[in-house]
Amino acid sequence: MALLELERVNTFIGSVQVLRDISINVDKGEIVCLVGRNGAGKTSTIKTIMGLLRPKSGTIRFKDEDITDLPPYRRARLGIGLAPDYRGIFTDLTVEENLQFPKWVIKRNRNQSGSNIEKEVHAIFPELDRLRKREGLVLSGGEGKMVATARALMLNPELLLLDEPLEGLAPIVLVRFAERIKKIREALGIAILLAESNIAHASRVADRIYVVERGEIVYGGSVEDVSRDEQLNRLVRGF
Amino acid sequence: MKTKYIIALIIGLLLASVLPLVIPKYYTYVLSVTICFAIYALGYNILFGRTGLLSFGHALYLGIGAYTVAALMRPELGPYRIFSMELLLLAAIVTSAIVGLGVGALCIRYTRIFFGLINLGFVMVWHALLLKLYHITGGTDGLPVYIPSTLGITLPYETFRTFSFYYYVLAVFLIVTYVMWRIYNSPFGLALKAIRENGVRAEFIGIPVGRYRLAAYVISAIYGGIGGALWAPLSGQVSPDVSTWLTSGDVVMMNILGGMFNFAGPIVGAFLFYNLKIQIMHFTTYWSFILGLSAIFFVLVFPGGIMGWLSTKMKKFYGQKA
Repeated sequence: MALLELERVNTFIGSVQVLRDISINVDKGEIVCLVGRNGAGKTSTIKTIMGLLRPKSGTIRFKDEDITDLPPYRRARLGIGLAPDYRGIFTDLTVEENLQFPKWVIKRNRNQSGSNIEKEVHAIFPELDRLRKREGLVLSGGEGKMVATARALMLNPELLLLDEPLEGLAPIVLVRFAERIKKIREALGIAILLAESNIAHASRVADRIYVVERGEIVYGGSVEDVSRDEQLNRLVRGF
Repeated sequence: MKTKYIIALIIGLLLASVLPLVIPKYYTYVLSVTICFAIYALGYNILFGRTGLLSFGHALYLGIGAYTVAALMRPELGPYRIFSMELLLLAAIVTSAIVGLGVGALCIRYTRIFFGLINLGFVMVWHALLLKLYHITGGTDGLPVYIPSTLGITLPYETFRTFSFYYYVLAVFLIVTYVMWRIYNSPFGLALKAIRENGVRAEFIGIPVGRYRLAAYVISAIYGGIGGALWAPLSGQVSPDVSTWLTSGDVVMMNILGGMFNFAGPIVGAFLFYNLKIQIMHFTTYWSFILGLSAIFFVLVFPGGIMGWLSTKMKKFYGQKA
């Protein structure tokens, strides 16, 4: 049984249909990537999984539980962590305060102290110690993405959603961040679903990919297959 | 730094304790009323400054607290009349919490201007009810408020409003301020700050935004109720004037003048606003004109409020020293 399963999900924003019959699954410990051009529906899929967009039809199952109608905070408490494409951190709060919330949430709702996951997260992102007292507003793009990812991990999730984590990063930072994504899986053994518009970036980390085009899944399989298929390749590269 | 705060607190407490012994009686009364408004403003700030919800109708709770006290003292209740200030405060807390829960459950579905206007609507409805339900509320005349007993002791009438009740109001103020301080520094208080910045982000890290907004609303309603309940015996009479859009606007001004993002801001704002109003009223009948100009001046010169400005200066000073 898959950890996350979307079955024929249709989502609308106003009167515009942004997802059409989306069916995907993510197994435990897997890194799966949604690849597609800008506006293809990657972020909408991530938002629908997190509950920030409500599907009109279809079902979303997480750990064999139907979560289609659950609000975002309940999904977070069940074990889905999200690091959004915009940095998504609280700019008025310090890095330490940003990371405090999830710790408090899991302490209250899962009776976990959060100290183990905190150690693991700091081991993956040692820079966090240096940034502890810094306000979210003054963080650089890369630092912001790191804090947003760390915050999602502090929830001790079983599924981590990363929306465009490598977008806009300098080449050296990008390589390092891609390594961190793999390290997250190694250290915590959790599943990761990420959205990426660049197939080359996706190939650095993903076990499997789904190609999204105009709100539909047009392909699901290995990165190598996409690279071999000229039509798919053209589709994800946008030319 | 912490020791400095403790020393400042002790000096402040000593000053507040001896003040009624040295200042004219009238000013002790003014000070007591100011403290009541400070409680009202402090409660309003958890909603406005901390959670980012601007209400234009919060005098509803000031009125509910005041009218609860007056209603429970009515002679018609016979042997069931309540004179114990502690019981009256408890009743005001319960009524404002119940009303806050009902009104809040409807209001928190909306944010920004819609939230503000729905609250304004509620205070207008409440004001109209106070005027029209004459047999219950006394209409425009309102209801008389008698001298309550405090901690089981009936204080002498002559000095109640100008001396003895001041200490009771001060004690309640210290307790509710401490409680609010604890709330602000709890994970819940921090979560409200996160909600103010971005409700969606707060939601996906596991914070039930709607529930927390409602909790903040009810807390702020309770503080309004406590402020009103303490103010009623000082006033001796409650009338619909206590719950208007004007008194709702006053609390917004108190928060802005004092500094809505600073814990002490609303307290300082309440002292500044009410005393400024009283002083100007002594000199001219055009007090609202002068008060309006003063408000414009303060907002332009101190956009973060007095405490916001002071806190920036202190940070700079200590930063330079270090």
